[in-house]
Amino acid sequence: MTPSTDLAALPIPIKLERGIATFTLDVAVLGHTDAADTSGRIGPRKTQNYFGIDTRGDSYYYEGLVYPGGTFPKPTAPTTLSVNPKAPPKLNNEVVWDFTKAKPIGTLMGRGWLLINGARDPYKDSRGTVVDQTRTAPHLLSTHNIFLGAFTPDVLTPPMLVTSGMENGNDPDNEPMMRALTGGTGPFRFAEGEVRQERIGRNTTALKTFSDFASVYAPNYRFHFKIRL
Amino acid sequence: MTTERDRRSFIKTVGAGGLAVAAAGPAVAAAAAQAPKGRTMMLPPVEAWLNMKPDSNGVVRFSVDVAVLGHTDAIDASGRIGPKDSQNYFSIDVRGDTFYVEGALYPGGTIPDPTVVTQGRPGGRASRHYQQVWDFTKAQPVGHWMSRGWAIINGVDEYKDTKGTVVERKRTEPHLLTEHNYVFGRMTGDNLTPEMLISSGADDGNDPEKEILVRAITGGTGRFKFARGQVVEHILGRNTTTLRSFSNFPNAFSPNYRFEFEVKLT
Repeated sequence: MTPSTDLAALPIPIKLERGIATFTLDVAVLGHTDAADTSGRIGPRKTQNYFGIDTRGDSYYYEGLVYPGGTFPKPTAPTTLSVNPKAPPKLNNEVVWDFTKAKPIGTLMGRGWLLINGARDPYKDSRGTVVDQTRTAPHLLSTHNIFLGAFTPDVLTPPMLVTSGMENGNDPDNEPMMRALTGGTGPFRFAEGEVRQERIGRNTTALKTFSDFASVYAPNYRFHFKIRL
Repeated sequence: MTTERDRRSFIKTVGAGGLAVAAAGPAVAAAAAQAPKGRTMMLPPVEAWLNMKPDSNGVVRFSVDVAVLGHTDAIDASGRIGPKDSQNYFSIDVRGDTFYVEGALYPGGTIPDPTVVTQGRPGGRASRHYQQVWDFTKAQPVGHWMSRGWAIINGVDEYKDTKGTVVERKRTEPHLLTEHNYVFGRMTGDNLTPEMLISSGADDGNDPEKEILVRAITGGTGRFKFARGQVVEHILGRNTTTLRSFSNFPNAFSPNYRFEFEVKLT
């Protein structure tokens, strides 16, 4: 079975040119699946003031629903967040997806570690030299498994892409992230390449990790893949 | 789906007792034949069973068997969305659980296929894959398997968003999202990192007769340092160790797996 035949069976359009496949996926994070484990955190474990402590050591898992690229409308109304109401309104804080307009074609599973070091005092080595200072972006180091298809008893693992990299900055309107494609299955089994991740507004689920604040809506992402098969 | 067709094609071509196992089979079968009855079989060295010869498409195919060591099944429920002290994994949301587990790695074909339909847990389904087919006295492992990841079972009927729309329903399979390291050699003080392959993907389903999963190769070392490809995983009966994560239940014996690799090395 040739790769192009395999690709034609996928639920998304894929452009194939000179052996390079390009395609786009939209993902709406499901806020209720945002499961953080603070037991390994360097800083205080019970606070959600992530930008004032060293959160490194936190692990987390979340899921998102996958749609063909272009499904989500672009945000148009700059909006503030309850977690930081004094910050300037941002386009990508607007809720643009409510899950009623289309059925998902797959699932994204993300997991990893928090990277935010919000400790105000710098870290010094045993000789008093400053070796590490406050760094509040990017927020996460993660692996994504993106399954293109539904999980059924007969198909436990639909075709999949795996990526690794960092996520999230402090300005949602300026948040392009590059991630490495580390593997795949089915038509992507010999794939290599990269993916650009950007924000595209928020959706109507609320993030568990900001449960101390009113309705911090979960983000949406758009992923632009460029891979060699 | 495409992968399902791929999987069937792959299994038909090389898997589940096919060519990949056959490649290891003669060496393993010879070892079994030479072992005195009731004694440990001396498995052949890795170069004798690990087929590294590519086919006309540049694809190398081989298989390994793994017996999961139940006492290493170390689960951490501290990040779990649902109740943290429950082992009733299929009626709560266990997402957020992390775990680590090891297995003993053998050449593909070492662990026999189960043949006797056996009852699983009381009241549960019966399957030949609940039969204990491996007791660790038959051969010394030739390598290690290490797995870690997250539990992904959501046993909650439905979740709604802030507007009351149902956005997610119960999903009880697959069970895990994991990374596997397949270590082709025994780790010693003088050989800390024998050559290795790494895969990423989902593990385990509810029906052992249908439990076939396709995973992505994400890296490797040694002869696998440029490896790309996929690996098909299926269950292969149970062994004589018991799973710690089911310690509230009697005789939850650990599974064995067969992994059928399909990789390009350049």
